[in-house]
Amino acid sequence: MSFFIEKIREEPQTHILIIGVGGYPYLNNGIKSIPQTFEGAQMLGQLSSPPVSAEAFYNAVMDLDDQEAWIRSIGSVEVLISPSPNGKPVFQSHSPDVATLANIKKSYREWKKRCDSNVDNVAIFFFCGHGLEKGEHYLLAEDFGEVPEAPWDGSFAFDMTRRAFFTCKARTQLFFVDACRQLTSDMLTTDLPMNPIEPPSILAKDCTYNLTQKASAANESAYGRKNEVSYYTKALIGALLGDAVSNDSSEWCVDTGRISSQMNSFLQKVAPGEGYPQRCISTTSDVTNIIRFKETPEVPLRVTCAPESALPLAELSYLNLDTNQGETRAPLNTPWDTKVKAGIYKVQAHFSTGQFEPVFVHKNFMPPAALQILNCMP
Amino acid sequence: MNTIPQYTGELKIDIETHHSDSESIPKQLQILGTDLSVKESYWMEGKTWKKELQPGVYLVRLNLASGKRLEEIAEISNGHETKLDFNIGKFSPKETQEWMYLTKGTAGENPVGNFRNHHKTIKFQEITTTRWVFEEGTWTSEPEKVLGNLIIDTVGESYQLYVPNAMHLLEIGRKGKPSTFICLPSSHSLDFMIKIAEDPNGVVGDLDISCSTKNKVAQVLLSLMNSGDINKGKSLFGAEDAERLLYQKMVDPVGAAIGGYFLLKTGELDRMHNWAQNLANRFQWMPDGAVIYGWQLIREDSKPENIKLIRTQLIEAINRGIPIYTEGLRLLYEGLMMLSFEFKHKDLPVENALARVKKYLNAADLSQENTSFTGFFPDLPRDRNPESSGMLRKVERINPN
Repeated sequence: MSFFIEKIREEPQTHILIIGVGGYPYLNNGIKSIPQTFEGAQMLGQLSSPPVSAEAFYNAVMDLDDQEAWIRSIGSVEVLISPSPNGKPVFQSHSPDVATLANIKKSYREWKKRCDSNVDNVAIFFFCGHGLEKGEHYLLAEDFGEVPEAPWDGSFAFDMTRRAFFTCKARTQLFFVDACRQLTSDMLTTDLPMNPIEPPSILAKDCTYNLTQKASAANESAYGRKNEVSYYTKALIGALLGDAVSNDSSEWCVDTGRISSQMNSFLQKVAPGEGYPQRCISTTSDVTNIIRFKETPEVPLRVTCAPESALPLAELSYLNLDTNQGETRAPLNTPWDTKVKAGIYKVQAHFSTGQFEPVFVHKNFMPPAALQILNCMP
Repeated sequence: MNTIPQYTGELKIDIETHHSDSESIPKQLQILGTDLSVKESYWMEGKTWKKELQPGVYLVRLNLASGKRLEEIAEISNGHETKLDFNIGKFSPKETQEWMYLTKGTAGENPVGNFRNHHKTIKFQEITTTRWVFEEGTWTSEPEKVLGNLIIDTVGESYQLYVPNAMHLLEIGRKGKPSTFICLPSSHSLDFMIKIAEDPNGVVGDLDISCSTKNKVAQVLLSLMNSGDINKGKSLFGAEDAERLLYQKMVDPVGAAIGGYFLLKTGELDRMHNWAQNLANRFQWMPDGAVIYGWQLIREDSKPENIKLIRTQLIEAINRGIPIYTEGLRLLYEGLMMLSFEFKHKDLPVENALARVKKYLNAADLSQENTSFTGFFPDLPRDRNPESSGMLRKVERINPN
């Protein structure tokens, strides 16, 4: 059973299809591993991150649903998972169908039908798994390599499929693809199939709000640590949960434009020091809000002093200049780790011993995190 | 002397750049209240800006098209002037490179002071440059006169190139590696910069090549479009300006192409009128005009009777060479791919055109604004054909009939 959430109503809603493919039984170290003739298939094996990433994405979707933050409330969430052998167990309270090509096609068509029911619906597609690219980006289903002579039978042409989805009436369509886009040498000499899930139509009008985002640039890889959420998915989840939020129009919203324009900087923050060259690529059209938070988002804040010797003597405080509310902390040896609502603050250090001059700054704090160092003069 | 009215104060913004030309680069100024909502938003193209504001504390944010941002808190008090200085010159290692670091999202961080200190010995030597021109179905080459042979590092070098109204490609060659080709937009004085690329964590990558015409409005629009920041693009120019860019095609056809791509993205097709058609017809050296016109037809009510004309335009585009802008390459691929399905993969000219575009797409870096790809010859992206040589490269025209 792949349907996790189904609360379809007449009003415009958000419909989501989540696919995580970690287990590829016919590839290296798979449970039915068979010799592959195609170089692209020979170099591929099992992935532990995609099922974990898909589960994390699902949890983020539901977290936002609990907060009633989706501008179009959740109508359906369908999940397909192919677990990696020896991978971390996921979706233990559900029994998702596996992500074979047949299941992906079936779920895609049903998801599209749900999205098609209202022009103001939001369609969201998330895929995490293996991918290869030669002009066209091929996403690999669980059964990739089942027939070594025809490995592409277990894949689908994503770019063509995405274009085909423009026949759907939903005006807001978001596609997130967390997969590699590498090209192997034998792909160069092979004519690859044109095998979208459905054929694109030149008569279909593009949707008004399109965000199609791929975790990596062409010929490059998408990365993640074993059994952990991939870097891109981590950055995407962070963006949806508030890193991409702004109050530009007096509402705390996440829009498709910020997810596009800021994702590479989010990626850098997710994996500092990893030395990885991942760059995500977006295709966009006009921009729309998809998430609206009822509350002002919280920002983890660290306040400390320079020099550090001032910290044990400093009474630290902050005041939100919008709400006129604040807090004070008595002198301690450690920095002050707290959480504040996003906004402009007056942050100050007061010294009752008189060893340092009192100091204050005005500063704005925004997600994902903030650090304020107060420079204290003796 | 100006007097500031009571009950208001004045905010004065000064922009610091190293190069006077950079002052005119459009910059978005946002004034946010204590709840961080945007109270006022402006685009400034000069060095100074003034505004009367109610007393209070504000966040003043300066956004650049490159995605770089500066923020300062301003405390406005009755009858006083509050002055904020924004030094945007610090984003660039050299004054001659400011245009790139301020407008291009792909430029990255200023390498001086961080990355360069660790890698200052890294230099690429013996970089050769060749200019290729596509005319009457043939690519011809000559050594690039301005650039010659280069030695570059992570800071890079910048040049000004003359590119006439024709399909021009610049080949950047490195010994033992496939060359990088970049499409050059026509300009009397094209800013061109080349440096060793770095990734966010200081790992040395390959070459980073950027170019920009003197039409700063169009260049900023292109950067915002490339990053997906369409809202900012709309607030900066509005469709009227993009429309004007398209209208001014006679003096700046590549600026017009950028305007056309922007209108296609925002779906404001009624503003394109028949100018895309004129762009396609009057600048027959430029593939982008045919791509834009073809896509205007695709997006306009998708009439079945338009399919023949769409087909003609998209095949014509590839016969003219390679779209100058990556957006054009992507649209050309998608348009031809849909035509291929429309004709059940049996229309030979469409299949040939699609196969040719795919070759470029396979070798292209789609994160760049200008179409760029690796390869050994302009007509042989990616592939190495040991028997292939020569500085005259004939490309067979795809006959749509």
